[in-house]
Amino acid sequence: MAIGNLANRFGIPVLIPGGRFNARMLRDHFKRQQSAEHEVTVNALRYISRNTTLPPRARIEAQLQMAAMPNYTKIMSTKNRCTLSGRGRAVFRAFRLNRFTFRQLARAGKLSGVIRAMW
Amino acid sequence: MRISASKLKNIKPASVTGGYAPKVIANHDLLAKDLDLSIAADEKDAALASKPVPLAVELTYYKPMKWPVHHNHLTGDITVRSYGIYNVELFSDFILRVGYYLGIPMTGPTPLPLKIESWTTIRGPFIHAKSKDNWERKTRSRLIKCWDCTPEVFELMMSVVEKYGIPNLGVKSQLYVDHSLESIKKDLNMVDSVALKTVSKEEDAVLARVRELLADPAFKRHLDADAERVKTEATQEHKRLESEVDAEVTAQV
Amino acid sequence: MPVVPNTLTPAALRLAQLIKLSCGVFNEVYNPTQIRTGAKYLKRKLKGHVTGSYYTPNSFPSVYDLKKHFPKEIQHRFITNEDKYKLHMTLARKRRGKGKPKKKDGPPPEDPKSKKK
Repeated sequence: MAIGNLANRFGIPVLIPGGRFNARMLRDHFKRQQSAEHEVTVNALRYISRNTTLPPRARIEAQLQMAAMPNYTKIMSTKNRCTLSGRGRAVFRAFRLNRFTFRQLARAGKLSGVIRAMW
Repeated sequence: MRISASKLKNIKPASVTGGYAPKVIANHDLLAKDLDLSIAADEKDAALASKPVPLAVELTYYKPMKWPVHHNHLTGDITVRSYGIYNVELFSDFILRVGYYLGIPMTGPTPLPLKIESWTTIRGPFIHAKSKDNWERKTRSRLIKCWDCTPEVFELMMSVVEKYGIPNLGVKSQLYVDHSLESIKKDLNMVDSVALKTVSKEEDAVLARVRELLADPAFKRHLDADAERVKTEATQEHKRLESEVDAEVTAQV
Repeated sequence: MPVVPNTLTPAALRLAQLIKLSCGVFNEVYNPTQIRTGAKYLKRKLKGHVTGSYYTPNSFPSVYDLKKHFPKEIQHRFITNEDKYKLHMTLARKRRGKGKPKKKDGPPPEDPKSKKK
């Protein structure tokens, strides 16, 4: 797939990520884009539902609206995946790589400053 | 060939002579006069004597000179960070020299705590968790403080530092500027203290959305219904307390 | 924000006044009874921009993209990894003598073994 291309499989078009990716990465990427778009709304609804000075019915309404929003609009549903392999487990935040990809690149000397630890 | 310090006889920082005005050092006219080139024993010396090295270059063989801090007025901070030692030491040395030539009193480079990030990975991609690899990344940093100079001079120095920057190095700088309250108010178009309670840009977005939502009929009907009804107990309590406090304050006044 | 107790003793009253004044001075929100107003969701930094840009950005064209963009006459100038591999394999085969056979004119010569009796 090329630059500027959209993935339409989720009903809402989303720009595909650069480089190599797979289906799980694409799904996570879609969730990230959507949650970023709806973040302000989600926070606003959360504020209304937590504000004890507002009437209880308004707060319940906010809670219902939040529950009605699909899961891909919540940042909680995103998962840090390896950006090269797409593995969802054992991902280091500092590199956005999974343990094996990290090791491959570190041994190749492609990760700046990373060396075999000796103590 | 290194020219000894004794030959740099007329080149002294103004601080030693007592004045504060920085003296221009990298001046080729000054070189021929001030360097004692008559004592050139070897052929090498003679050759070099006929071609004098610029003083600034010669001074790199010595520790960087520093101006003393007179007013203890911190203008700016520079933090230099790298994964290796060489870069960090080289560049902090360079910054000190630049600062010296610009007449900025500097202190440093103070070494900041060594930061070691470490990770442990399983060697293979699948199972075999009994054999692992340990990795680490050491971040070395140095802090240089610039005192007593104007913001313009500091920014000038930073422009030189940026121009001659080296790779694999992170440079952070902070500039501290004193403003009068009037100037700040003028800048932010503030008239009185009420205006200081402006929200930040991020707050603005959420707050604006909250207002939009509450104006929506789904929410508005609940708000309207509650308009006459007294608010929750918590706010009642709050109001009661506030009235008591206010009454007391007015009584005092 | 210290909590103001329900029953105000003279000392507590003075403290409450102090709290109220200091909030005005330092531009803080005055909330002595610690009512949950949900203000933290207003103050919270938005992190959608950070989480949204987790994967590699799709902003730089690859050789494949450039190749498709140009007309067919010029496409051969953009060498992708696949093209390199193909070239490498064809050269290897040629070296072994397994290259593309020459095109022949006319029917193939009679094979003596397959001669019909």
